Amino acid sequence: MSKKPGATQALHKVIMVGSGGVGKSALTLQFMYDEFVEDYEPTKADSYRKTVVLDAEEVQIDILDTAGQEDYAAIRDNYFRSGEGFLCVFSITEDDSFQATQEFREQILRVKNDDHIPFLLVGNKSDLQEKRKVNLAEAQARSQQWGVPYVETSAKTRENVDKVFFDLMREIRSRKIEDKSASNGRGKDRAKRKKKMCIIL
Amino acid sequence: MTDLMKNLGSDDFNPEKFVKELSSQCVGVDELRQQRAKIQILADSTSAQLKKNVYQNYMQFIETAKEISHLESEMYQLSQLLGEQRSLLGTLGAIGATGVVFDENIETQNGESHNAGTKEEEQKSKLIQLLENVEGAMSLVETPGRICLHEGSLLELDPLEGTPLKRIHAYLFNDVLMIASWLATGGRRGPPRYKMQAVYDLQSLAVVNVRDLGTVKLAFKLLAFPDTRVFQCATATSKKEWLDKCEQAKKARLVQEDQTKSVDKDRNLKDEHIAPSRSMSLDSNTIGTEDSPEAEGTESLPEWLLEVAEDLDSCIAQRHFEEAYNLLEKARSYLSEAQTTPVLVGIKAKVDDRAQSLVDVLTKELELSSEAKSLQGGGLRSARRAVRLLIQLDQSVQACQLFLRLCNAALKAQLKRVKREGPTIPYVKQLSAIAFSNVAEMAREFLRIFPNSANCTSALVVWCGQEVNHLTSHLIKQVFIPQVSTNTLAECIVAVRSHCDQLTQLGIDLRYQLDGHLRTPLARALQDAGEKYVDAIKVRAAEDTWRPSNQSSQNLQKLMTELEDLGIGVPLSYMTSETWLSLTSNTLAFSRLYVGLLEDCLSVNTPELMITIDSVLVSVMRAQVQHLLASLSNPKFKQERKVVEDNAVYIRDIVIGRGLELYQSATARPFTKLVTLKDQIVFEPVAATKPRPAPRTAVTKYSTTEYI
Repeated sequence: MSKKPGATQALHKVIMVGSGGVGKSALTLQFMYDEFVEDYEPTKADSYRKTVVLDAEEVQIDILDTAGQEDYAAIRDNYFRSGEGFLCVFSITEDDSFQATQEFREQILRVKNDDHIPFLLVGNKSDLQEKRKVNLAEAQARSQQWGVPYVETSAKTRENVDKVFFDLMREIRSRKIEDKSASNGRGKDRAKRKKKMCIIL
Repeated sequence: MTDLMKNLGSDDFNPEKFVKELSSQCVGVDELRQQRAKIQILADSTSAQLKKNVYQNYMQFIETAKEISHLESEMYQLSQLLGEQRSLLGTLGAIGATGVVFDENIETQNGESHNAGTKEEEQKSKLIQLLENVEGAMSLVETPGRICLHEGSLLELDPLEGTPLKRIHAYLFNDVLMIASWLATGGRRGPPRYKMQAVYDLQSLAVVNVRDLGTVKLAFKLLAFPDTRVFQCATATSKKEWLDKCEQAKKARLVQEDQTKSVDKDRNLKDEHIAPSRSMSLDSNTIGTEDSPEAEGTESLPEWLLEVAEDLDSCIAQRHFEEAYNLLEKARSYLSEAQTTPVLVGIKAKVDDRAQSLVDVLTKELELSSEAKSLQGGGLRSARRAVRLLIQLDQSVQACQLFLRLCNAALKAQLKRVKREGPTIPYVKQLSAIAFSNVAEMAREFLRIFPNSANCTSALVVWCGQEVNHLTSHLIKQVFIPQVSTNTLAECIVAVRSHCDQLTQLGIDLRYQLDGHLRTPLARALQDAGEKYVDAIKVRAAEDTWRPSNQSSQNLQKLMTELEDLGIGVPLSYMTSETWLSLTSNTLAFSRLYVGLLEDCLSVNTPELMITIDSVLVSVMRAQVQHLLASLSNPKFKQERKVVEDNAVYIRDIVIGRGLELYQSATARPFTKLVTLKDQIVFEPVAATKPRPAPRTAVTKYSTTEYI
């Protein structure tokens, strides 16, 4: 593992969000250390960093594994502000956690003030098909409605674990390139549009 | 021109059409030029008008801006006040809340309870001690109930690179996390010094455990938008301690908040529970009856009546006095018709209370405006509203008093503006004109406001009297000074009297009062003047050489017209030539002075002053007559006897005659004493030394002809 966090290496900041106990930490740990932890201990907030090869390019991924049970909305906002991409995780065995994603999504959009923020809807615990409460169509409908990809993962079997992180990093990267190539194009553009609206108002 | 203006100003004005018409109408260049000139004039006047309007608007704008800035400052003050109160309440709340929490902590931990107040002090002093070495952190001490949970030195790392940045010292309080940077102490010993760098509220501070990676070990991260900071701890235990303590602090805070919230909720619930019966219980308390009020009575009452007291309060507070009064009347009329129930009695008591407070507010209003330094003309007019309401509230006596006090103040302010500059007469005239016209104006206003209250009118009369007293005593000081001439005196007094007579139009005659005040000093002044005249006559008599006066014909002519104007024209027979007059300069001077004195005396004449005036006039004339008689009988003036006689005849026939005439017309009665004096002037043969005159006969006339 290269330990040279230089300026040459891109850093992509990913945030894990979702209700408590849906497997955010499990996914993270599986991705980070290729291990699956059976016992559950609620996370406070952990930050991980790792150098990975994304499409033949060495990049750093910074994962913020947030607490599912955070009491202060202001603190949640601070988590979200620091992220460039989001993995919004729910458990397919728990409908409440699926319903909660709506709230997380709204909060993220509000905090980031960007409808096109890199974002993946992740249905975890796909190995527990027999306990499934959230059916695929339902989840796909929601992801389509939001205009984001939907992926089902299993932290236990490592199914799609790398995929969600890499897909998200790609999105983050393309967003960054986009922003840069248009010389702050899209962001600026949006800002401009907004500005105009203000004037009209 | 106006047609043109209308045309141009009309809504459907079409420039092309206008020009077309113009060009078709006008023949030749000149006419076009004329049209152009017309339009030019119109344009000029329009722009001038526009300028004027702009200027006017500008002035109004400035006025408005001033008003706004006034308001702004008031609002600012208000917000300051509110802020203070809020912080006060916050402090009180915090003391209560933390006190509770702390007691609990103590009880659970140590099993002993402390007084919250001393605890507070202790905490504070601890905090002060702790923060002594941190520059700029003293403001943190201000928050009550703040305690330090943990502190320690940390190494800050670059959040992206993970490279060390600098050493910092962090303090975890029960509500905030404070980061302080090290200050170089120059290698000297003693406690290290810090400088406060940042304070993060725990409610919005995300503390993130950083998993070890490469150089970044034993670190944790703070997310406090927009800052992201990474700190490295020295040991694993220290890191664990930091994370745990942060978590604990956050939890404790959450619990505390929940508590206060639930307390609030409880309170709200209780309030809601109590609310329905509140108004009734209050009412029954106010009248002191403990028996349960009839529920039906309350229900049947209109809603506005139940809220009337509050509404009145708000009306008064918002200075909507008329509204308050109307509401009051409405409530009173309702209450007088409705049956008396305990509830209504309570409301009535409240309403009466509000009525009293309304009266108080209005009273204060009037008092304030009478104390206000700058009493502009609007002072009385603005008082009208308050006074009228007070009258409606049956407080006419008080209103009248206050109004008159206001008048008093206004008048004083008006008179203060009249400065004593230059001669007395214009000053006195101006002062009395202003005073009386103001008094008249105020009296008129008074009668307008208090049309039907006789008791108040008497107060007005008394007030007017007082004001006149006040004025006259001031005037007496100004006018009756030793050097002042009778002429000035007379003019002043006449002016004051004429101003005073204005009030008679309102049915207030204060002349007697004015004259009464003036009488004593005036009589004394007249007597003094008389004595002065007598002395002067005596002095001149001693020097009299009985020479006819000789002047250039021009001056003589002037003198003649002057005397003619005074009503004591010299008969042509006295002119012995173009330049000679057989009257001596002494006689001429006396005649002029005497007529002046006579006129002055008569112009200030009042029945009560008659005796003084008579005696003054007679004594002055007597002095001159004595001089004449003495000269006639004086053998020294044997040569000049003809001249003396001429002069005597002039004095007797013309001057005294004029005096009698004036006196008669001014007082409508004969001046008998002067007639007696006149009769004393008789001519005896030279040898005769008889001092006393012959019996009153037609001798004078006879003797005159005899010697001419």
